[in-house]
Amino acid sequence: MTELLNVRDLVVEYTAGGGRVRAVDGADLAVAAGATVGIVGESGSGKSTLGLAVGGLLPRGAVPAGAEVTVDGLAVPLLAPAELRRLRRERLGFVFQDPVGSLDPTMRIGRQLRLVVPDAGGPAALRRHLERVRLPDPERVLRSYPHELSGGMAQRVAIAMAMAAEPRLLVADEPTAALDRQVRDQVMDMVFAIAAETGTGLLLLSHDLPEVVRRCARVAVMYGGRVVEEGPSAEVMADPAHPYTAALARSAPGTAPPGARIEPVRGRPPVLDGAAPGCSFAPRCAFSVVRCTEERPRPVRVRGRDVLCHRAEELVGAAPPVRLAPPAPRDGAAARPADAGTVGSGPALELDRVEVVFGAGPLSRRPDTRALRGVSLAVAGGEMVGLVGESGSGKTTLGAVALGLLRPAAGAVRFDGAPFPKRRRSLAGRMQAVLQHPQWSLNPRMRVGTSIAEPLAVLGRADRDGRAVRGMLDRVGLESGLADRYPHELSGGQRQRVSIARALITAPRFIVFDEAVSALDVSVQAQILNLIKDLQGELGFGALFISHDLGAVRYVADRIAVMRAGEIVETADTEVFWTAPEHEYSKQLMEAM
Amino acid sequence: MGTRTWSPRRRTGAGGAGRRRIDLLSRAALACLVALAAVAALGQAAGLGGDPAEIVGGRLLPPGPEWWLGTDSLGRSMVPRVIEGVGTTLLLSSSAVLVTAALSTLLGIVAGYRGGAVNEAVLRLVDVLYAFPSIVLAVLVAAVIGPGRTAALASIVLVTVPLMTRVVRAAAASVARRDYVTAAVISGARTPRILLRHILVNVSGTVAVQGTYALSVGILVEGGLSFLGLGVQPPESSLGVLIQQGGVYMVAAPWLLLGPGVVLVAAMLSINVFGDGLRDRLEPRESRSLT
Repeated sequence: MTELLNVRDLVVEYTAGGGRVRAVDGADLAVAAGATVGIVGESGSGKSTLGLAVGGLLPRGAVPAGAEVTVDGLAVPLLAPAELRRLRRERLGFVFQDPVGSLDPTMRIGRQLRLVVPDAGGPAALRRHLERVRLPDPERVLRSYPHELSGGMAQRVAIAMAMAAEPRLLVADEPTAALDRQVRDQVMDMVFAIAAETGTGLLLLSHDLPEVVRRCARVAVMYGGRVVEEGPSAEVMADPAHPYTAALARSAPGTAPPGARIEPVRGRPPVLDGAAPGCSFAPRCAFSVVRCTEERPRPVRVRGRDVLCHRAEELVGAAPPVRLAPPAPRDGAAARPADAGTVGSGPALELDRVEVVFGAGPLSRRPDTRALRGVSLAVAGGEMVGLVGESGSGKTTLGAVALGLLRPAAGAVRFDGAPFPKRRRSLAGRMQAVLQHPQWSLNPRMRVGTSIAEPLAVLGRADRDGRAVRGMLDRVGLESGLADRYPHELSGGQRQRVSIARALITAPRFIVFDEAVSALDVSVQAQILNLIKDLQGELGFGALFISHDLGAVRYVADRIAVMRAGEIVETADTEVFWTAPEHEYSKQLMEAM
Repeated sequence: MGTRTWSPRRRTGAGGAGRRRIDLLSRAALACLVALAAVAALGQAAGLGGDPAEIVGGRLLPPGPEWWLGTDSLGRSMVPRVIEGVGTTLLLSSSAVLVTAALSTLLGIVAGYRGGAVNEAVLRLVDVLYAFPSIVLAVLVAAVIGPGRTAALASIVLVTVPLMTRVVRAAAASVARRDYVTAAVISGARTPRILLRHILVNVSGTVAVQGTYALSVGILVEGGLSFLGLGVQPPESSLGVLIQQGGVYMVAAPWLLLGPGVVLVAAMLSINVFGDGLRDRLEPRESRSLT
């Protein structure tokens, strides 16, 4: 047997809050020595659990003793604790999503690294491990505590630790999800380079199908705790055989040409409490038939790939292939109809050479931070301007200035042609925002309906019969019954819809979307992006769409502004930007996509 | 303050419904607490065990069929005295805690939400109070306004306000950073509205939990103060007064300490256990994952 990792019909069940949750429902997977395999799935698909099962890291009892999980021929569930530790120490490496959380905050990096480096080795050996992960100034890093490192640096350290013993297999669970887009690519490049160098097999767990396809030789798509399709990456992406894979491929914002709609995967992934009776994707599948809900699909070989779908053979060619290449430029005629905002109305929002300085405090030795350095930007009524940049570039600060939450040190802000009022309150109702975190966007102690109606209540216009709230819920695609629920009963996507409803209820002239879709799963992200785009088309509000995700920005925005280090380095119409970015930094951003 | 460093890990998963109620132990503690309060209130009203001030027989008699907890140095039966003592102590500390809760919540949410100079002012005030050992502070209060119930009440408030204000302020500050508060600000909501509808409701769990801890601190402060003769004055009894009087005859008549001692321990234990249960229910830790 040449397989490095072999997982056959794996079942993992947790007990949670008195109930049982089946996280993995009969998954099959094989990784050859030195191969790169990506597992793609939404959150809840079971990919992380599968990754943990490989290292025997699950709670006792979650994995049946007879389960077939072998690493290098060793049956993981049967190993004694000491053998298991040895396996992890010598042949397995793990990298998790949260770089800072995976390092011990009480220990200097040097000491932590020494714990995992075999045959101790002097400082020079430690330095080599850090140099391998392309960390600048390894001396300083060795002396640092984790909190003194940036996220990207901490993740490099975590990778250095995972790779220190030159394991046979590295399991990387969303290793770059918590990092900035640009750093993300550098880290990813580095991981793949080291794996290739040392001949380490790589199991990459991610929700980002295009990314995995670009990086890994093979891709396994997980859904409902099973691997529904597995095959060579390029073939899977170009010609998906499972309806879920096809839907996932179509829902990635980066793959659709500008102007075209991305198609979200409708519905929610299942939560299983036992073996699924049929295909768990059936409720969301456009092609499902009775058999799909009644009989568990068995692997079928289609186009040389194992596919878990009853209809895989009939559906050959039914799912349209997806283009990954940069799209052709749109012809000018197809632009937004008549640009509603420019007709008869000046800019809704105008920033004129705005400066924001954050004082470091009188006792601090650090210099003041100039968060915005003379930024000018105008957004017309009915226009959506996308603002991209990495974290720390000042885009959120710019959003806060636009919303009147921060007063600029210099420069002018004009709203609707008039200078910004002294009192924020006089803008109430005319300007709203949709913010980032779905879990914190709604007051947990307030019913959804009350939250939505709050901006009206603030203006003294109560929504007594609840008609306005129901109308808004309908508008954002939610049932009116949801008004009586509390936020914890809602999914992330639903909560973000509620936030949008709350922002729209006063019919504002301008809305700031600050990373409004960043925290959502890809398929939900697509739904919300479509909703934002549709609503803006219908209602014609001006908007600033702030995001680090160029794909999302391109999809919704009419114009794109690129920020770096407190300055806007380029502003261009979306399609112009897409085909010919001018600034060096914009080009880098485009390449990083 | 009963700060627990260890708390059982619970996996929070899809089936979160099982976490709705507090655990069995905490419910038992609550029952014990309610029983103590009921015995104190009803016992005094019904004259259970007779008149606490009446001299009924010999001095320092050991517990027996007639006097269940014995008699004290003046020949008064201990049972009604303990009942009266528990009542006084509980009433005094719980009224003090209500005052503390009101003050701390107000200070805490305003400081936590507004930040800046207001926050600094509140924190420095709290630091000053915190700098005094609680018993020294209580002695100071008793010296200024004279020993008695009012001194005990004021002392409890002064000792518990800094403890509670800090925690409530921290909770309010973290709530104040959440997106729904920012969204309300953007919608033009005024400060009182934000404090009441967004901050207060979301720190109420913290206030309740801290209230139980403050109650146990209050009972201790009252006990200590009365023990020093600066709190509740004889002939009135409180747990502190009874323990002080019992201490004098500890060698000759140790049973004098039995009643008040057991009741004090029971009260403290049940308050802290209930507080912990309440905390686990109202302020569950963020869900832990295996990674």
